[in-house]
Amino acid sequence: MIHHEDSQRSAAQQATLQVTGMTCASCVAHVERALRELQGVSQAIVNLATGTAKVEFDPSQVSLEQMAQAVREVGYEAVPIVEAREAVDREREARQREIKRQGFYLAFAAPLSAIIMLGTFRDYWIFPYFVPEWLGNKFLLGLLTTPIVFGPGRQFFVNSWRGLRAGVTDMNLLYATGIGAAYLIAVINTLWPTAGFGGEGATFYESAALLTTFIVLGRFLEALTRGRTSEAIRKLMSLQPKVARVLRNGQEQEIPAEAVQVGDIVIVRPGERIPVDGVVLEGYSAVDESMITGESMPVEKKAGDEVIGGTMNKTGSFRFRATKVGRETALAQIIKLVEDAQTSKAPIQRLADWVAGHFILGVHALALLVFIFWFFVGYNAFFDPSTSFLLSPHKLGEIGVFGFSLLLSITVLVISCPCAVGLATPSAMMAGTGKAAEHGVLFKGADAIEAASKLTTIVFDKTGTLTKGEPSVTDVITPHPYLTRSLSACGEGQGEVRGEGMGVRVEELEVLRLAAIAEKNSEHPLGEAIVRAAQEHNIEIPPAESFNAIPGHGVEARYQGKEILLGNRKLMAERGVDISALLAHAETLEQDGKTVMFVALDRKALGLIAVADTLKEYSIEAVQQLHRLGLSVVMITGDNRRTAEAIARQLGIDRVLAEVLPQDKAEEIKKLQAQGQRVAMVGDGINDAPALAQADVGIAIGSGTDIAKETGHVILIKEDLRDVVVAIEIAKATMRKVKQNLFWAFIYNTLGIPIAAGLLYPLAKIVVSPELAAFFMATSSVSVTLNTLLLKRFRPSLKMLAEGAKRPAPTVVTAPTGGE
Amino acid sequence: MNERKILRVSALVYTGISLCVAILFFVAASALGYSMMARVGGTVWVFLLSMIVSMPIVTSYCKKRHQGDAVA
Repeated sequence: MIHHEDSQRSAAQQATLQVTGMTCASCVAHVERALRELQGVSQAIVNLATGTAKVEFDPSQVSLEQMAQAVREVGYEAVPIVEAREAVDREREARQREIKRQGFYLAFAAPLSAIIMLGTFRDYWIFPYFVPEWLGNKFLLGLLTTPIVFGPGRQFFVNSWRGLRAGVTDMNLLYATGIGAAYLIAVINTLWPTAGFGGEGATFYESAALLTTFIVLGRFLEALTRGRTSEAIRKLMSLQPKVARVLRNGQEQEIPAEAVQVGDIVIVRPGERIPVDGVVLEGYSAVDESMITGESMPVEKKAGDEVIGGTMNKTGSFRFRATKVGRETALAQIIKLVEDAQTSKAPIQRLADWVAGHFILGVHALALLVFIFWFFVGYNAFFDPSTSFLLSPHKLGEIGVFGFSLLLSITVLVISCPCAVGLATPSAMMAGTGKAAEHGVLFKGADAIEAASKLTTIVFDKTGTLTKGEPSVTDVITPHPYLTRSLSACGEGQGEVRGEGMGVRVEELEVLRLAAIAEKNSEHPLGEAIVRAAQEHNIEIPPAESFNAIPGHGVEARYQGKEILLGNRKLMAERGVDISALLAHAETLEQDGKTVMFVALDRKALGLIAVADTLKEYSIEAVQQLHRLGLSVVMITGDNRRTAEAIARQLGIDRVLAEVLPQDKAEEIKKLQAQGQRVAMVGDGINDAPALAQADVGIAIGSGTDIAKETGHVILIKEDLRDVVVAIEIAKATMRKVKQNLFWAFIYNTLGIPIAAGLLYPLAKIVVSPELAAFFMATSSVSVTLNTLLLKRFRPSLKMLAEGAKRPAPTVVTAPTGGE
Repeated sequence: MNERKILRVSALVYTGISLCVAILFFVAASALGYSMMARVGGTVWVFLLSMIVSMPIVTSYCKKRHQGDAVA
């Protein structure tokens, strides 16, 4: 299947081919090689778990059909795709076909193999009591084995022949040589028992039959479990509603969601999914955005608010204007990012693929050496006719030198199969990126997951990331101790009581009201902060009779015939206002990096108002959790050191890089990297782009819907800094899973090969039968996929805590009094 | 040299190598007095494995060499 889009980087195009028939890492290497060898193909990345090949190519030199043909020539199928949804559907169909096919083969081969096994072992244990003698007849066993080898086993011969014709060796060849050799020797020994191939005692029909059955069982279980790791994209795609209700020519019409155009007025009723992105025009509702942002609480929507396509409208009805449709919607961009991440390769996977790709060749070379050793040396030196198979009562008996050497050689081939290696990394990466997307964290590639798991330092941009990026009133203080209070020392509702006289005092509200009256028409950010604070406290702000801004000093205004002054020390000194009772408070606040403005009425000091950039809701929690993960946290800002350090103190940040110009932030990241740190930069995806690019992992805090514009390796869909912790935890969990998978994939080979090669034979006099080798091999693949599925149960620590705790209610906090 | 010709040349080389290894095996097995069936069976198995091992190495080498010549 070929899905192509214009590359933004060059004239080259990108295409995705859906490849079927791949079973292992060496298949991946073959398909990649076949594509890369084509003139005009600059890059090819194959993902075994999704069965896709992502290709970057020059369309003037190579066509999509030529690429598909190149894949077919090395023994696999490549089918064209038109769009992503179709790709997923086809992948599912192909997987279901594979499940059906291997299921049928299994249903056919398993009972026959059981009968063959009973026939073979009828002279042992309790079998003679109930297994008829005729079932042990070699001709009958041959007759029962033949349809298994040429039925379910045929696929391995056909695929390996296709590969061999193109000069490639893959897993199928291992199976084909194993099954073929076991069957051939059994037939020869049945028809010509004196030919010297081991005689009647070496008619391993059960080897050929069980080998086929176990390999088919492995394929069947693999097909069953493989698709479950790619559920994330399917889930995301299922969010896209098929129908939209739009208003056209004053009429309500139901049209396909794809037909909605930018500017269309879309009507959404309770319980309906929002078809595209847009801005609410009228109506009011709560929308469940959890599937896109990971936010568990429904979000209230009113006129002017943005809505995201694919989210679920809960209670009310509303109309909105479509602003993004088709591939531009947030959902489409998320799907694209997750797809890209799932088809990309982590460095660890490249290494695993390289190893597995060269493994097959090495295994055949080893099988050759094993054969030659046991043929010329081992058999004469060590062979004992009482030799039995591991976990089997079957004895080798009169097997000849050729039969014995061949048996060990075949077992080496079968036990070495590295199919689990091919699945180990991509399946975990798919599960990890999918799990991250569920929580509103988008990894742009598998390499980002690997890099995020190894971080040592997290650098946060201050303004707009740790702080809200706009000044807010933090303290209102009157000269009288019992009247003082801080409105919000650490952002809304996160302050602390610092003195007596709790509660909202009329005097403070009056100070705030007068300041707001003076600043009502101001466009200065500090003035806007004061007006906003007054509005938040439901203070009515009547217009001033006159207003005059005094640049560098403050403002003066007249209200009800009285003069209001709001400004710095200089203004107060010039107008002869005595502020000595407030100076101690002012200095304390300024040391905390806050901007202090004095308020006077008719030349009499009423109080002061402190304004500062306030922390975002979960900044402190995120920093604490990052420390708990053992990471060093650094803040980078262009602010002066005093302000920066004050913020850092509140957050508990270890290190501050202050007075850094925006263009120098990347340089600071480089310095940290030179100190051996693995650095993540968390910042605004647009403003901090150079620093995000320089960092080992750039984490961009998304604006919710403009995902495509974001730079960085990881994108947080919502502005919740705790998602940085989520991203790192998921990355660590995924890499842990990758390492476990690689362990399970290699442990069977590592332990099995020496035993299969007969290393223990001189001491233990036991050999591994080919069918047991096949069983180990199948177990390896299944244990890897099952282990990956455990990642589905992963829950970020902060999410679990957050669900247990209620959101804190805003509180009013009292400032230190000092003069009491 | 086109793709088909490269594959043909490669096939000649790896078949030749595998035949040499197989013949060597047969001679050694004969010299050591192994039965005819063991000799023949062993020679076929050695030839088969030698083909499988040498095929991708030789094909890839020939392709690379051809590409190197083309660039030069």
